[in-house]
Amino acid sequence: MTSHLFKLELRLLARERVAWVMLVLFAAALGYGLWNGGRLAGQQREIAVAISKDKESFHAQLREYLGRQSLDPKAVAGQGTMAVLPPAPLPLLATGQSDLSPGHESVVLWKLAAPADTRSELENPSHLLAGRFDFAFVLVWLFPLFLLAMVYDLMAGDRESGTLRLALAQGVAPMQWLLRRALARALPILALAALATLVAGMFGSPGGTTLRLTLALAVVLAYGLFWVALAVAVNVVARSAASAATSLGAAWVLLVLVAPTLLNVSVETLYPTPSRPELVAAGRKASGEAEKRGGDLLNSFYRDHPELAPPGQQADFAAQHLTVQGEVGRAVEPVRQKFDAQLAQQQTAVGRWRFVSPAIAAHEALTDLAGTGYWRYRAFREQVNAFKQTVADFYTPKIHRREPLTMADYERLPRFSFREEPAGDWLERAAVGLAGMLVLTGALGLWAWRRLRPSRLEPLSN
Amino acid sequence: MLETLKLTKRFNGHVAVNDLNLLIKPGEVFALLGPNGAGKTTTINLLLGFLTPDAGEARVNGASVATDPIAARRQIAYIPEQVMLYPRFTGVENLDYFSTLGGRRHTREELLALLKRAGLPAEAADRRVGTYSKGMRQKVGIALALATEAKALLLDEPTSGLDPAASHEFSLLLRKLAGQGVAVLMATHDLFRAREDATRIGILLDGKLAGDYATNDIKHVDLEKLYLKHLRA
Ligand SMILES: Nc1ncnc2c1ncn2[C@@H]1O[C@H](COP(=O)(O)OP(=O)(O)OP(=O)(O)O)[C@@H](O)[C@H]1O
Ligand SMILES: [Mg+2]
Repeated sequence: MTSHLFKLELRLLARERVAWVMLVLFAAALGYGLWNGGRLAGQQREIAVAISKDKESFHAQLREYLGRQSLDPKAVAGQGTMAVLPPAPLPLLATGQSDLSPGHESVVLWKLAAPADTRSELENPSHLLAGRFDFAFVLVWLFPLFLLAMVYDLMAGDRESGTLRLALAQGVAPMQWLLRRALARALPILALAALATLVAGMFGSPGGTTLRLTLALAVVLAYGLFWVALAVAVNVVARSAASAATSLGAAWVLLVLVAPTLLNVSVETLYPTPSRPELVAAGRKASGEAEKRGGDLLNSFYRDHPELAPPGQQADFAAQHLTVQGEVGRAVEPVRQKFDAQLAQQQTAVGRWRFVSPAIAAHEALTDLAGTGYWRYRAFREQVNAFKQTVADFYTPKIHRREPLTMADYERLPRFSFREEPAGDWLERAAVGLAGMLVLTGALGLWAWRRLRPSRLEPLSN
Repeated sequence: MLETLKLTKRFNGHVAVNDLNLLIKPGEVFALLGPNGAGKTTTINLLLGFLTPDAGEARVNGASVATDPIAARRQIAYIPEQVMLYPRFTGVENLDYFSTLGGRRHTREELLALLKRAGLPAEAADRRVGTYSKGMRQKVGIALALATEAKALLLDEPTSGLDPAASHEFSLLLRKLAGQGVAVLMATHDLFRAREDATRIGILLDGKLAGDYATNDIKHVDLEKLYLKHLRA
């Protein structure tokens, strides 16, 4: 019975030419979004591959060279090491920060104190507005519009025309009738969105993405269902199809355009983005001062670390530079930490307030699951910082003592390898986002259900 | 069986149905006459549970409309004054859709037979309802009422828009249904049809039943004069 009615609802939908136009347009938008994301992800993968090839050939050469003779550590340190963030697990899902942050950084011993170029900025919710046509944009912005085009008139038009009276007179529970129609009419668009998500997942990095993809799929469907529930709720009160369309259009503007902008402005006001120039200026000031005191610094360094003192206490330029750099690093560290803490505070605020609009929650969850969100880039930045320390610890003693690099050192050369965030971390963030959306959806559904009890048809049938 | 007990409905202080007591037994065709605004449609809406009464109660085959509205509606076949259907569906599809909503599945053959019984030309059954005349839509409504096989039938000016031949056929159908034990409440302005089809005639004035006659008892009375007498009283 129910499945027969479901079929009839679908047939009714299929008789509307607009429905087909919407379906084709949505498919085109999804395809374009995926293609765009695929292009960017492809470029980034190529870069990552090229870098790792360079690294391999450099290490092969180094190994071969060290096999024959030892080497001045300065020569190797000067080459630097590339710290690379591996391609995101599901890059097609959302571009996120990946087109802002290079995702790789050259770590050079002489430049350790310079502020990193990797920008890991606030996941600015109004980036949604920037018009980056990726899959997440299509899903967060356009998906609700296409969905609403199908479901804006679930009952309001029937109420206007009088078919609702005839339907209800048959003794159908109004909520059951409304829900069945809502799901039938939403089905084609929901199915297309789900399919596209799976396609995006096929181009993910191999292995370990199944859970991310499953969650992404759940997020996409939950986000879609939120809009369907909103349409259901609006149809409970709207007296005509036109007024239902107007209300839902207004809701879209509010939730997709206004709310992210407002949240962004509020977060910027409450937790201003730390100033990058300030960070750079602090570095300059510290290095200016440290250089003036270069000789003194070196002397006190050797007093503290007599084991590192070069033969005859004759420090060379490299040793002096490293000492100054260490001092600059220590001086700038609090500023850098404050900078990071401020960014984290912003992001935490966005995370806390994301349920102001499911559009924000969905976008946050999708970028997070894609692996192009704030948190993965932050993890990369922190690991690069730690890696800089490793590089300093490895080369500094050798350079002071003027010890050559030998084959024995080869295996111990600092190499960067990114450790992915523990699954529990992103899992928790995404699950909370998902649960929030489901709660909002459930609340709307519950409200509609309470309004539509079979014994309370008076507002409907007149 | 259709029953109203001291049923009262007010709209913004204006009493549309006033302390109305009705009992329509199986096999009875009760014609409800009354001027515009007398409360006929309101009474039908109360029996369908589309309106909540301010006082009193409506019952369908014993089921209280207020407490068990779904059960009550499932026992009612209802033909509104204007049968509104989905213009993008054909006649058969509309009949299929609405009768399935009421919990009854029919095969295509059964649906076609129902439409035929209701007097819809066979060529029209698979045409979109958007191309139908008002009378043709009304016939789909009649087919739907037949499909529900309900023991209570609510009719709100059902023959408005039907041509005389179709109207006559509908009369025959109505009598046949009554013969099968269906209780019929028919709001109408058609004194001729009321006299022909009804077993009882009620005259509703300002939501109150001003007259209630067995058709047999007023065989030789001019119904029009009787009706006008009530109006002037
Ligand atoms: N939803 C409503 N809101 C306010 N008043 C209403 C409503 N429905 C009906 N009324 C009023 O109740 C009274 C009875 O109306 P009703 O439609 O029952 O009359 P009727 O007997 O069916 O008339 P008609 O012969 O014109 O169909 C009228 O005065 C009408 O204006
Ligand atoms: Mg009426």
